[in-house]
Amino acid sequence: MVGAGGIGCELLKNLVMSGFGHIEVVDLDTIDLSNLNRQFLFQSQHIKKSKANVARESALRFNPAADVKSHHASIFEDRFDIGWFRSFDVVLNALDNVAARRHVNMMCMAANVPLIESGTAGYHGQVSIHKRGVAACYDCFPKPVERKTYPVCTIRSTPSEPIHCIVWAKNYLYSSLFGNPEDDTGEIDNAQRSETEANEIKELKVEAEALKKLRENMGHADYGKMVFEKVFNRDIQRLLGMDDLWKTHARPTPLDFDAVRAAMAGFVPADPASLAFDQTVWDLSMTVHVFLERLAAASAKALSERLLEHRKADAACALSFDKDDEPSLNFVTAAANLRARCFHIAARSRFDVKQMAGNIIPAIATTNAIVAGMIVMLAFKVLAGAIGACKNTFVQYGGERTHLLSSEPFAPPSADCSVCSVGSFVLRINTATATLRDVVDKVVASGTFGAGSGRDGLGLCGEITVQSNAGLIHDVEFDDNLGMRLDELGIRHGSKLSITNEDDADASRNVAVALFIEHWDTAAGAEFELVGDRSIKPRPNHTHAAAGAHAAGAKRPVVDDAAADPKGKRPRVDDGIDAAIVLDDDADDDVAVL
Amino acid sequence: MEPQPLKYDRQLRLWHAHGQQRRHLARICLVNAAAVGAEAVKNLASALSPSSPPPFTVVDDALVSGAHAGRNFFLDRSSIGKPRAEALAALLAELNDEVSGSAVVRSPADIIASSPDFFRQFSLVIATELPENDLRALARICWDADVALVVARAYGFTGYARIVRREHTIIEAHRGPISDFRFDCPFPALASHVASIDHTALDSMASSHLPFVVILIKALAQWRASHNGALPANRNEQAEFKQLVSSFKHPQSVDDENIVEAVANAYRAYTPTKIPADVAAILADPAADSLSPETPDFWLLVAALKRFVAHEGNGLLPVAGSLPDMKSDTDSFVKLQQIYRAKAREDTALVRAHLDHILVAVGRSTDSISDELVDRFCKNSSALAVIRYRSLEDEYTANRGAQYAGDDHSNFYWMLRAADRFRTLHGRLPGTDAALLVEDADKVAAVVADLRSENGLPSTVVPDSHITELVRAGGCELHNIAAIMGGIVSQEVIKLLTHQYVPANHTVVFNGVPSSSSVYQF
Ligand SMILES: [Zn+2]
Repeated sequence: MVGAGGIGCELLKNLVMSGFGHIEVVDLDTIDLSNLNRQFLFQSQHIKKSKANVARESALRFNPAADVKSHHASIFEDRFDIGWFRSFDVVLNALDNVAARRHVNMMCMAANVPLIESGTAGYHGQVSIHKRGVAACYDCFPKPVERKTYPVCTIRSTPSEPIHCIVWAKNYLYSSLFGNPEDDTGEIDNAQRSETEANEIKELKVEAEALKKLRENMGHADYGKMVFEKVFNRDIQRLLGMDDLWKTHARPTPLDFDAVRAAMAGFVPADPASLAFDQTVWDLSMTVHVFLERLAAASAKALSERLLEHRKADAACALSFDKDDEPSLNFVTAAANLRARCFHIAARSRFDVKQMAGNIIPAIATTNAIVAGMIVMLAFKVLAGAIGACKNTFVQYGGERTHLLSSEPFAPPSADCSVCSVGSFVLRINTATATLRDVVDKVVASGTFGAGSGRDGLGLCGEITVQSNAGLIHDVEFDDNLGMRLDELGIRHGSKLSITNEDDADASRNVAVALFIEHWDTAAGAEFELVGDRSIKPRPNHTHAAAGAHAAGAKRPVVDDAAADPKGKRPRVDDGIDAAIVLDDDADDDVAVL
Repeated sequence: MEPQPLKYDRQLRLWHAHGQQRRHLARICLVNAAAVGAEAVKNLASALSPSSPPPFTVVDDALVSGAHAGRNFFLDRSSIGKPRAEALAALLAELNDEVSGSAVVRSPADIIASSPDFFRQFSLVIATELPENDLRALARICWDADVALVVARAYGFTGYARIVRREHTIIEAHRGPISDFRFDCPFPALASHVASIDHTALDSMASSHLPFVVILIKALAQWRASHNGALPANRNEQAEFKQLVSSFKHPQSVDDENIVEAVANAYRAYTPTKIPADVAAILADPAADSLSPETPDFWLLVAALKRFVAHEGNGLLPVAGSLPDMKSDTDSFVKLQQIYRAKAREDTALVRAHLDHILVAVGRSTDSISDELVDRFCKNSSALAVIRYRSLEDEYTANRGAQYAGDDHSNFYWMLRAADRFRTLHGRLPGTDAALLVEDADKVAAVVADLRSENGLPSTVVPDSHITELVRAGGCELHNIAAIMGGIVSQEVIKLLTHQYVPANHTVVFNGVPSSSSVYQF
């Protein structure tokens, strides 16, 4: 079981109560206050403790005979290797993010273990079965994720809606001040531009540079004021200087720091723990107060301190925006609303900002309960050896629909899936003695294609390309690494090598193979063992990049077309925050500088 | 006491603050703490806030047995021998330290028979494991007292839920985005705004930022001028109209996203603006005519809406006032948005004025219904919903199952009814005597046939496998089925309590074998 959150708590209870023999549960998270009401295995005394460990303890109280093992760990860790996945009859995902879902999917497909995947969004939910060679994997088909995109210039220069200000506060200001400085130097597209655009882009670059400089003052007593004056006054003044921009947009008004501060005399801030602080729109004084006191003093300072702290441990460390982190959310809310004020746009409550910035899809106890039950129904079938009888199940909105729950047969795997259609092997090898040349020559190139076992090579001919988790490490024009030991190349237990060959003679023998490394401490030199199905399918001409989550050209969706929206259309379950707002960095009329 | 914002954060997002508040007023009674009921109440408890008196009352005189503890997550070994109601109430309180549950250790049958008024204190009763006669008596009590009743059951691999409520009104049905453009009947401010734009004088840049709403209103006006005022009526005319819309593209413009949007929305332009049939039915409902101080707010609002429609609205609902995102420059979009919003405010104020007259006429103060509610009501007026559930008594005496002839899932309903009849006849549930499994299966099949003929329904052959499965279950609750039904029941209860989203009408049958459900109106 991967994930001990909303669905996970229900799932663990159902498994324990339904007599499942041996259960392992993995979750990296600790319990926080907002989890309590949906995640019933947790109570207030458990706050800050491991979800996995507490879930296990709570479940055992009700069935002391259950065999439950918990791991307070990231599923990405090396110890959860192919061998570990292979030790289960079925893997159940109760996750809330796409990255982990894709990772578990990849591991299950490589280990040839059935995976039951789940997700909920409000009153909608779904449960699906995935199995190598039998049922489409999580990555077989691109997900129709609806992305909302905004032209960069709208965000940076001419916002007209609250969301534009929120995106600016979160993606530009927050990441410029607290994020990794390398992240915000984007590629400049030098395609032909109008003079206005060219000027604007030049100015934006200057502005971004200045903000980066300002960042060096982090920790200074006046840091909040410096940031305020730069972004809400000088930058706005600068924009005002570009007359062309204001032919079609209302002119913004810069904020005067001293005037704003003077107007705050005698101001009493709202209680940050009150409902009003979260749900009503802050007035100017409150907004500035939060920005300066709570942010410059608390959040920006707290963030700065955390950043400085982290830096000690890891020089390249950066904070990424976390909607559940109060100082971060307060900062983004205040910054977005101050910018909205400059551009005469309505301010939003923190509650609204959180929803928009985090793109939270609410999860509720009732849907989690139904979905967790449906996972177990599928798990029963898988364990009974009736995987063919499994159906993907959908929990629907209800209402006028005749079915609350419905199911449909799973799709077969996609022939050109880069996850489940490639050859997958566990390569047992001593990473401290074997070299990359050993892998290329002995493991990959020697042997007979499609035959052999154990210590025989794969027999791939032609030009061999090798990629590790870090990127390309070998191809025909780049053979510098051949003499290096695997461990010197950062290839350790749990690493994955992706191999492709280009065989001019026989295109049907051009394949893609994934080698999951299992460190074999006692093996001598280049000794190795390959575990996996030797019949490898030819690589399709176009390998659709499973990693290409950033589908290019995802334009703003056209207004819903009821004619094309038949009743009873299957609800799509988005993958939470990963389906968040993206900035349109390749729009025809705009350019990326973020 | 205010709810803690963080903890209820996600609930608030889905139900909004007013929905959450409504649930705070809820008082829920669980009759019999079987696993399905305990699961439902657990889901609700983890989302409900404190109110006084306690929101949960568990009525049950059973003592916890080993079998109970084995399938009910809330009963552990240490509760064996204790009253089931007390064990569950205590565990619910532990689950959410703000929720208190109270236990009434008394036989439900006894309360139903001798103190029916007991149930009047609740807004909703969830009933599980009641024999048919007691259930029907409880349903009559709730019906008369206007208390919502949800019957829940997990029986082997089968689940069942039945909602009974005299009337359930919904302002926020959340059926999807409301689009209200008035292409065919632009109100004066909109018409004059559109008329003031000379699209032929725009350069290619400005032309490509012309909102599709403006394009469609202009195009439709042009069309009608050349077609005696008629809308594009048939396929050919509609295709022609789309061509006309496409002709709004500036010859030098390379960006035609707004034209694409206009063509995609063209069908909205030639679909006449009118009141949706189900809303028209609500406006025609007698409940909006006989007004008194006791008339629920919903029907007073409908009465006010009706007057608006008859007078200022010229047969149409108030303008909703919201526009979707569209390709446009900021100025044009904001201007358009302001025009729609201003009209929505104007219409809402008119509805408010009618409402004030009505409130005064029935002797209520005008501030007894908030502007915020009137606002919400007007915005959602095209999606109002009213459900009048069938009483359980009507279902049992004049079943409408004939419409489901040949529907395999509906067999499970008849089998559950048959199991109840079997219990009344034999004093035990089918399958509870291992020596009589085959006989029990035959008897259940016979009872199904009897029940159907008593209800005037054609006979049907229930597959043997279904009957065998039912008998094999021996009336047992499987934890996982109870958990799924508990999830479904709590979800419907939340819809009933918040008056948001549309609850199932009226019976949900879940079949665990294919993991699917159906909704019936027996
Ligand atoms: Zn795949």
